[in-house]
Amino acid sequence: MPDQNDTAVHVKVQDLEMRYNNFLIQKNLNFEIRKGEIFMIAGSSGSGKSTLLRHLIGLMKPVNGKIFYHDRNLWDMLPQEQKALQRRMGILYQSAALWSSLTLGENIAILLENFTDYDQSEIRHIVEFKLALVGLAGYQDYYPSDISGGMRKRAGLARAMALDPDIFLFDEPTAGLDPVNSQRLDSLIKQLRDNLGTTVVVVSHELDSIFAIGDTVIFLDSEEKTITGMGVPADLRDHPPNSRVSEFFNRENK
Amino acid sequence: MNRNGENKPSGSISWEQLQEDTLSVILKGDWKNPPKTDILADFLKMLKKHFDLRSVTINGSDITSWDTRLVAHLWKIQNLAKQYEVETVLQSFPRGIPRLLNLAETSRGRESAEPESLDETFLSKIGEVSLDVTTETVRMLDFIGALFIGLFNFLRGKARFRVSDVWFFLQDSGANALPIVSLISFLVGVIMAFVGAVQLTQFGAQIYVANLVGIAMTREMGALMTAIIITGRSGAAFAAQLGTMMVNQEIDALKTFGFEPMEYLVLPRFLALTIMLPPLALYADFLGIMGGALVGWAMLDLSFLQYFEQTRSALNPQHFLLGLLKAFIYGALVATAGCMRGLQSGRSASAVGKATTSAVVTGIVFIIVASAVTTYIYTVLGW
Repeated sequence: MPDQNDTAVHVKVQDLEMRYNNFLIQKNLNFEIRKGEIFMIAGSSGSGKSTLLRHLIGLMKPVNGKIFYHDRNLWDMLPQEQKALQRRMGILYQSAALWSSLTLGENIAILLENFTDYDQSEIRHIVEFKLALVGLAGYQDYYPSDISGGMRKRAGLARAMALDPDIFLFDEPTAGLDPVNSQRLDSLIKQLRDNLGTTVVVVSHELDSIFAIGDTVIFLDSEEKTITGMGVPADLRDHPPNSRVSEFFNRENK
Repeated sequence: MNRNGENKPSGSISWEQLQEDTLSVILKGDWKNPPKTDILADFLKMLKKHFDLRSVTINGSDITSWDTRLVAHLWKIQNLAKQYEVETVLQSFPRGIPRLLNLAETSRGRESAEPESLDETFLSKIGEVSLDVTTETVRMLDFIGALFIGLFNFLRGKARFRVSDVWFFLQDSGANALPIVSLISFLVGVIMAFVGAVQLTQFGAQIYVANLVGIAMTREMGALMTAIIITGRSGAAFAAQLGTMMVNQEIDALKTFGFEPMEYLVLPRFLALTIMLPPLALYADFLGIMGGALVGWAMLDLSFLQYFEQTRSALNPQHFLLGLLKAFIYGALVATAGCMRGLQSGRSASAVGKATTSAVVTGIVFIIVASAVTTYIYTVLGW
């Protein structure tokens, strides 16, 4: 991992409160994501993990509280600044969210065509390279509907990498994948961080992933409606602060 | 008796008060085939009758077979007893039953998992409807405003969209719609000629069927019928496409990568329909006139030459232009309705269905209102 500014804070969340149709999901969320770390957001289903990610991306506006990127509040920015920030994020949605009317190659190329001044042959090379990184070399002319769910997730990852983002935000990247494929995706994420130094935020409830790649994990408690566990995954497992954290991290892991 | 009407020994339940404060319940027999009594209601009666009841013992040693219906009953009984602060003891049940009860107890969801429901009174309904109308109007204005910004960016040459999409939608909603537009407008011409023929023949003026069909098709019906067909074809398709993209988070992905859905998704569809509807309407005009000619020839003994000559003398370019102007407006409205409903869709399969239905309804309402308004304006202006 490149170590300049090793401990610099990339994202800071302050007193965040999230509601969905007036229904309280989480409140008093306070945490920092350091530059270059793999930060896991864990919790049972319905605890608001994906909602928190949508807040971090800026797709949902918090009811209360602030989200800072490099000391600037996301919601104090001008719309075009916010957009510029979002373009520096590499997002992998839960459903991969590839544009279904475009081929895998076009899904990546369209970003490079619109937001860089590279020429066509350069773009083609980059597209092929990014697809190769995720093990999809040669698949650029396939449509998202032609490939399997696991491949779609990886193609989504390739698209997230298209513009060399500063931060990756992944929503359940390994959900619905078989153990071999999810392990492969996990190690891919880790390698990306190790080689590019990108900050990575991962929403996951899969213990395998959390222990394999997480530097820091937060546990969103659906009963307390706030974070009740934060730290290194193995520490939380061995010294859980409450019974729900203990139950989550010590459940039988097959 | 079981469901098939055969006589079979069924399970039985007997209630027995042992002391002032204890009740004994004994379950026996085949509980896959339970007795036809409302056990919970009986139990509630007992609870209400005996205030000092403190404990209930339920014995199941003679149960021969059972299914989860029995467990569900027991669970309800336990819960009811808890409400009345009565203790329940299960004795010698087949061991699966206490385990299932335990499982239901430990993994029960949130106490208040049910969404809050308010009493629906007449006034609250009126209030809700008026709030809905307000938000609906705001959302519509919001969309139209954003659409205008998108169009403005397009005119400045700054809109981000794929030109190939425009070509695709031109073909999809234009050329590919020709068969259905042909059929419908031809038949509309036939119908109008029939209706006119019956009336006009009474005055010996059957030749004027040509005027009727020609003017009605070019000024109104060509554009109107085409617009309604395109609402059902393309308007619905747009809503379904955009709704599905919403469900798949594709629209979120567009936004975060810096594409404006209004430019990238709506603009090509909007351009395609506004460009395509006038030529389609013109085509429908001619097909309708042909339908009229067929009726004139077959029913009214008019030759095609006579019919077309009469039509030519009745029509002038203005009729066509007024119809095409309408078609242009309808095109804009159909695209707006379809895309708006699609982008407003919720994130589920049923929401996409709703969005599609709503797109067609909205589209047709827009078209009919626009038709009435433009016809009125044309009349006032003497066009």
